[in-house]
Amino acid sequence: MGNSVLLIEDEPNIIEAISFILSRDGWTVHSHSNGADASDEVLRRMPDVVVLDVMLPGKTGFEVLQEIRANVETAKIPVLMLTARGQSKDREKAESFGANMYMTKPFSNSEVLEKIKALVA
Amino acid sequence: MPRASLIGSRIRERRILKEIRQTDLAKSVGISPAYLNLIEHNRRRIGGKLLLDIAEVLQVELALLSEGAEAAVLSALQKASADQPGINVEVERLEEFAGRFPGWAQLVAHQDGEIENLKNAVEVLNDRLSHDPFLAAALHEVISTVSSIRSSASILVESDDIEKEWRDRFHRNIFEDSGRLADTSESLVGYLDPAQDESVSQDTPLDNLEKLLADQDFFVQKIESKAQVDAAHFSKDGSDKAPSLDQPETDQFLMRHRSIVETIPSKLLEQAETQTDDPAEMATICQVSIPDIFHRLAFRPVQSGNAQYGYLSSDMAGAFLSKRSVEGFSLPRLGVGCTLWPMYTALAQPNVPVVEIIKQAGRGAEPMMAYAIAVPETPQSFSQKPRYVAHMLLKQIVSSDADPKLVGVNCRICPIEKCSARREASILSNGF
Repeated sequence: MGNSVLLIEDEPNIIEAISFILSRDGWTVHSHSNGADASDEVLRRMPDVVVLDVMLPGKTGFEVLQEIRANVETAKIPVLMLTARGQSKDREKAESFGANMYMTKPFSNSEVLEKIKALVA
Repeated sequence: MPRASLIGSRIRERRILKEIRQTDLAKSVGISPAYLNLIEHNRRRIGGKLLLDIAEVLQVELALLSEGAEAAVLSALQKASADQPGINVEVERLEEFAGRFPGWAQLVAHQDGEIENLKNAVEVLNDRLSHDPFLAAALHEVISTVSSIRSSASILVESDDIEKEWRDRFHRNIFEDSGRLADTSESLVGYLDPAQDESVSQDTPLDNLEKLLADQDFFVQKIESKAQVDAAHFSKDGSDKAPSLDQPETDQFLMRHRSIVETIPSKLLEQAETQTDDPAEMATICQVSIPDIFHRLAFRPVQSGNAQYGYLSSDMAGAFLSKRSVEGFSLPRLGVGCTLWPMYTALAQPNVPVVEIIKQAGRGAEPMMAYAIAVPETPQSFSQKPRYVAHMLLKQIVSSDADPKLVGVNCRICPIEKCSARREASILSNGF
């Protein structure tokens, strides 16, 4: 398919697992593990989809999402929020900040893949 | 209705309880049934020998008929009704209820007390859970690690054609993650169950210090008598249950306390108090700073006649540095306090004394005269910006003409609705 994903996540083994799944499905995967400059990385990579963790060092995923949406160049990139928090208020917050989809940890690999595919369909 | 005027109701209640007919009781004490009926309906005063005779026939203590329910029960019932403003309780018939049904009255009073204890316990636990950075970090770690294990394991199970290098890598990841999970789980269990490791205290060093000071009525006798004291003074009390001490905080407190006690001996403080009740004026009389007089007033012998003070100090980030609790004003165990407290106002205008009458929203709160000031903790310097510490002295007040400003404990457990200072939703309300 040739689509690219930027995975913003600070847990290296999760990065490895998701990268493996997406790579085998034909995706080009890049990862970034710090919230502080994550939106710059999005601008640099201009991926087709961003998978964004909420709990990140430096800045929260919500802050990163706001920055992505505030920049006209990255504003329309689909974002899948990935977080350990399953509370409904976090989901509402993610949606209000412009997340296209939202998943809570622990997640299944197939679910991640399906959602990412759906975002570029 | 006055308590004494309900003697008749109590007689009637006791008579019915004993299954004695009105006619029989009247005959036993030598009065007509009609007259006894008037007495029982509180339409005739009764006392003297007649009341003694009736008490004897009914086999009850005279006081039970003449005084009715104990004041403590009545007070508890009043509080119970006040705690449930939504229920239309017949407050005017409180004593009648307590007098006629003493057992039920005690039960209601007792249960109201139990409910209050449980609510307090829930508040403390919620406060702890929602503000405990260790718990938040540990739970996040657990969920992230579980996610990683699940993802790696499902790759191994679902991928038949996975290369050996990748297989080994995911095996190793699962092994590492399971180790992390075990460590985090173990530390969580140890943290949540104090019995796992009794040497690990759930309290902060500040809590421990306050408890130890409270055990001594906030009064370090040896310092008052100019003896040398260090943290060991507290840990040698022979009690196995004494909280573990964080020595640097304790020694730091004791050093400051000793210095203040030496500067403001008890007699000087007493002289100042006879002249004024304004802490700033007391500081002038004693020729000390306002924070020093705050500290001296808060940490001194609890004697009858002395005003009871609470005290708090915090740094510019709002973290507490020193505290002495006072009844009627709750302090959060973790995190910061309510932004509306005068001590935070003082931080915005350093060196300017602030005074306000405040009262916390919620149960058991009392109005307080709150004196606050923020002063630099670092020496004045052209090369270093000052770091300020806010000090707040809380004095219980009985009554005031002015309405107290309503404040909270902290947002998480604050019931004030639509508060402009709210920074997070309360577990006691519908949030923002």
